[in-house]
Amino acid sequence: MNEDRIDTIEKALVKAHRERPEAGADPAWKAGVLERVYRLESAGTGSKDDRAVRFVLRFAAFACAFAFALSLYAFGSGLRAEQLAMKLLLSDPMAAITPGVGEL
Amino acid sequence: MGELKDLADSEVISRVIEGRTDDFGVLLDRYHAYVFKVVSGHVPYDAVPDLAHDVFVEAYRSLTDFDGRMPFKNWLAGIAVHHCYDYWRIHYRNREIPMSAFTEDHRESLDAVVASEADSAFSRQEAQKEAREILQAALVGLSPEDRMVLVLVHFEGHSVKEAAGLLGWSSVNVKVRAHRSRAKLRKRIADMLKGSESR
Repeated sequence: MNEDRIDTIEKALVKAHRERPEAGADPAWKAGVLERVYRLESAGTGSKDDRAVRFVLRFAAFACAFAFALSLYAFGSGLRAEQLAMKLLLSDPMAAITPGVGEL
Repeated sequence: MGELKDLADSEVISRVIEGRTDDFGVLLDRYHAYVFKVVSGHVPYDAVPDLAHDVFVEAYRSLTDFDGRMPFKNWLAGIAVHHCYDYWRIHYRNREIPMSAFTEDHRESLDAVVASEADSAFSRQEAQKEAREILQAALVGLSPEDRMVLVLVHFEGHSVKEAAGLLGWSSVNVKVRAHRSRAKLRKRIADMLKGSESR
């Protein structure tokens, strides 16, 4: 295949691409954009609220990850968290956290 | 509004962030043609208005992220390029297009360009439309990443560094893709010419 012919086609395509006619926006298009922007603003999801939303989402993700890690640690340590919590709330806290002392 | 037109982009942006949403119209007036131009270089013409619409809405939502380190126009171009890339990630389907999908007009256009050995053969308006269609056919099968790099670097004339900045990718990645995608394009053109000759 003649490389010169490919070069010619390639250059012609590049030239046609760069000389493409400009597509214009009509007033209805602009009005549509502004309408959507106003809706975002009234819904409270405008630009000035985005940072707060992102902070809350990131903090929530961190809190969930921390809680999950803590749960894994609790299960791995053999702590029976539910039983411990029950004893602390319903009976003598000292007995709950120092098993065997009450028998002395 | 006559006063607003004289304000710098940064001042208009500050006003919008403060809550004067109407002032966003100034940025829309200033840059809608530019965004249309950027977007039309990457996606089919019928998709341009909707995509440009999304670009400006995204720009509005992200205005607080604009730190002024680059001109607003460049920042806007980055958003536009990302939306075009997302468009092709969604629309990336068939890797091949049969040669029979080319019309007789397309084949004649290719023959005319080769015969004239001139890159101005697509200068007529109707031929330009055919050229764009031929180009879109030639780009079918390219991955969205290769397509974006090819158009930015080879067709739009951006440097590797500029294209990498617009896409948010490494210069090495863009450089490798630019070379590879151009080779694919040339092979595609060769296939088209073979198909034209075999008639």
